[in-house]
Amino acid sequence: MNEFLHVFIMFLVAGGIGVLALIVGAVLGPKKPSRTKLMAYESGNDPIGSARERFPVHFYLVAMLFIIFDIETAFFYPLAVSFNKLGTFAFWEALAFVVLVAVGYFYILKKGVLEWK
Amino acid sequence: MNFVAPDVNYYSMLPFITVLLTAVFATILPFYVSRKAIAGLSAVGLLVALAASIGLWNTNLSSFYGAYRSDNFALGFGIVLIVGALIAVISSVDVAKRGGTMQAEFFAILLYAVSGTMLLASAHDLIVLLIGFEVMSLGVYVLSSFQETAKSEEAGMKYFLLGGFASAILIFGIALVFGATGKFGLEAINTAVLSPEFKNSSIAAVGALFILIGFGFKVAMAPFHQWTPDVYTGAPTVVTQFMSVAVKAAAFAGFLHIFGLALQNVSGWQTPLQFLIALTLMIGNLAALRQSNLKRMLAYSSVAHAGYVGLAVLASPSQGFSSALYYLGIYTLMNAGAFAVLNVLSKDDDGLEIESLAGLGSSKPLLAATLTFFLLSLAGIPPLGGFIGKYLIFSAAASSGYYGLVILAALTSAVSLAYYLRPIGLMYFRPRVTVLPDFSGRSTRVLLVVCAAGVLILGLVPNAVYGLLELVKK
Repeated sequence: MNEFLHVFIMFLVAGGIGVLALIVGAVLGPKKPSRTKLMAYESGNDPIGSARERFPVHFYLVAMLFIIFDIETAFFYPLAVSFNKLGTFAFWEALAFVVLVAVGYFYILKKGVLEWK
Repeated sequence: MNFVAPDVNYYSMLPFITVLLTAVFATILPFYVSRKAIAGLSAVGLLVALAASIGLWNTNLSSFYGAYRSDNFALGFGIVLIVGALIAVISSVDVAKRGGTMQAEFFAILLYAVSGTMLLASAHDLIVLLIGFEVMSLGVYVLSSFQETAKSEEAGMKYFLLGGFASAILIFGIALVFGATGKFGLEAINTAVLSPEFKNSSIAAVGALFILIGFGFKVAMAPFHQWTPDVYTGAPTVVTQFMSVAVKAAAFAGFLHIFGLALQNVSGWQTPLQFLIALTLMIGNLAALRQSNLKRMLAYSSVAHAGYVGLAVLASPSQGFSSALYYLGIYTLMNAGAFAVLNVLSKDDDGLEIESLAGLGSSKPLLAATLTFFLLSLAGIPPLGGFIGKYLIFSAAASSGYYGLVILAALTSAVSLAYYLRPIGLMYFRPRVTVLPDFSGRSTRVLLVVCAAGVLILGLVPNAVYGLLELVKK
C-alpha cells in the first residue's frame, strides 16, 4: 500500500492548496458587490431570462447526433496518424465502423431529425 | 514496434454477427417495408443464428485471444437466448391485433439486446463481458418504456436509473478484481489468485462482492429485486417476456462465468451469496402468494426462480454450469410460454387479474391447457421439465454441501404450488365470470403448443439433452 501513500499525500496537498486559496480570498479580499458583478457568468454575454427553461426534444436528438460524429472523429485522428503502420486490417475495421455509424445517421435522417420546422 | 493484427475469427462469432446484421437491417428497412415483414426478417435472422450455433457445436472456436469463446457452454446459452428472443418476436405479432402500438424499432432494439446477451454469454474477459452486459441493458431499458403510457415510462425510467447504478457497482467490482490480480481474462484471474505470490485476496474479495451486487440486480435477487415487480408489470408484456427469460439467462451466464471460473478460489462471496439466495427464495415465493394480478405474480415468480438458479452458482462448476443451462433452457420455454398466454388474453399491457381466469378451461381450451402446462412446470411438478431442472440444480448444490439451502429451496418451492395452482383451479373448477378477449393468431397457437411440447419432452427424456450438456464444462 506504500506506493499509494504518495498519491494520497499529493491529493492532500492539491486539495489543501485549493481550499486555502478560497479561504484566504474570502477573508482578505475586498467585497464591493454590484449588480454587474452578481450577474450569472454567461461567457461574457448578458444573461437573458432564467436558465431553467424547457428545451425542445429536438435539441437532444441533435445533441445525440453530434456525439456520434464526435466519437467518430476521436477515433479517426489516431487512425490517421498510425494508418501506414496498421495496414489493410485497420482500414476494413474502420470501414465497418463507418458503415455502422452511417446506419445510425441514415436512421436519424429518415426520422426527420435534421428537418427544422 | 510492428503492428500485429488481432486474432479475429469471424467464423467463431457467426451467430453473434448474424444477429447483429439482422438488427442493422431491422433498423433501416422499416422505412420501406411493413412491420410484419420486419418481424419475419427478425425471425429468419434468429433462426439462421440458431442454425449457426448448432453448427458450431463441439468446435470450441475462440477469437480475440480467447476473450470471445464459442465453447459449448456459450453456444448452449446462445441457443437458449435465441429461442427466448424468437418467442418474443412471434408473440409480438399479436400485439398489433389488440390495438397496441408496437413501433417498428421494437425488432431492431430487441435484436441489438439479443446480440448483447450473446456477447455476455460468450465472453471470457471482464471487459468483453461488461460490453455485452451494457449493450443488453441499454436495449432493454429502451424496450421497457416502449408503450406510451405513464406506467411504461415509469418502468423504463426506474429500470434505467437503478440499472445504471448497478452497472456502476459492477464496474467498480471489475476494477477492484483487476487491481488485485492485474488480469482481465477469466482463467488468467484464477491463475493469478492461485499463484503463491498472490497477496491481494481482501481486495479481490471486495471486488467479488461488488460484482455479486451488480449481477444480483440484473438477475433480480433479493434484496436487489425491488425494481422487478414494477418494471415487469409496467413494461409491455412482450418485453417482460423477453426480460424475464433472455436477460436473466444471459446475466446468469456471466454470473456463472465470473464466479465459477475467475473467482472460484476467492473466498468471501460464498456466504453473502447464500444469504441472497435464501432471501430471494423466501421473498419471491411469499410475495407471489399475495398477488392478484397474473403479470405481477409471474414477476415475483421470476424472482423466486433467480433463487433456484443461484444455487447452481454456488455449486461446483462441473455440475453447476450444465444444470443451470438446462434449467434456464426449460425456464425460457415455460416462463415465456406463460407470458405468451398472458399476452393474448389481456386487452392492454397492464396484465390480467387472476380472478378473471375463472372458467377459461371450457371457453378457451387450448390457452387454458397450455397455461396449465407452463404453471405446473414452473411449480416443478413431475414429469414436466421444471421438475427435472429443479432436481438437477438441487442435487448439484447438495453435492457441494449446501444442504440447508436445498431444504429451504424445496420448502419454498412447495409454497409456490399455492400460487401456481390457484389460476389452474380457477380455470377448470369455477364458472366463467368475465369474458376474456382472445387475440391469439395461428403463429401464437403453434408457438404455445411447441413450447408446451418442449417442456414435456425435456421433462420426459432429460438425458437426450442433458447428456449433451454434461460435456459442457470440464
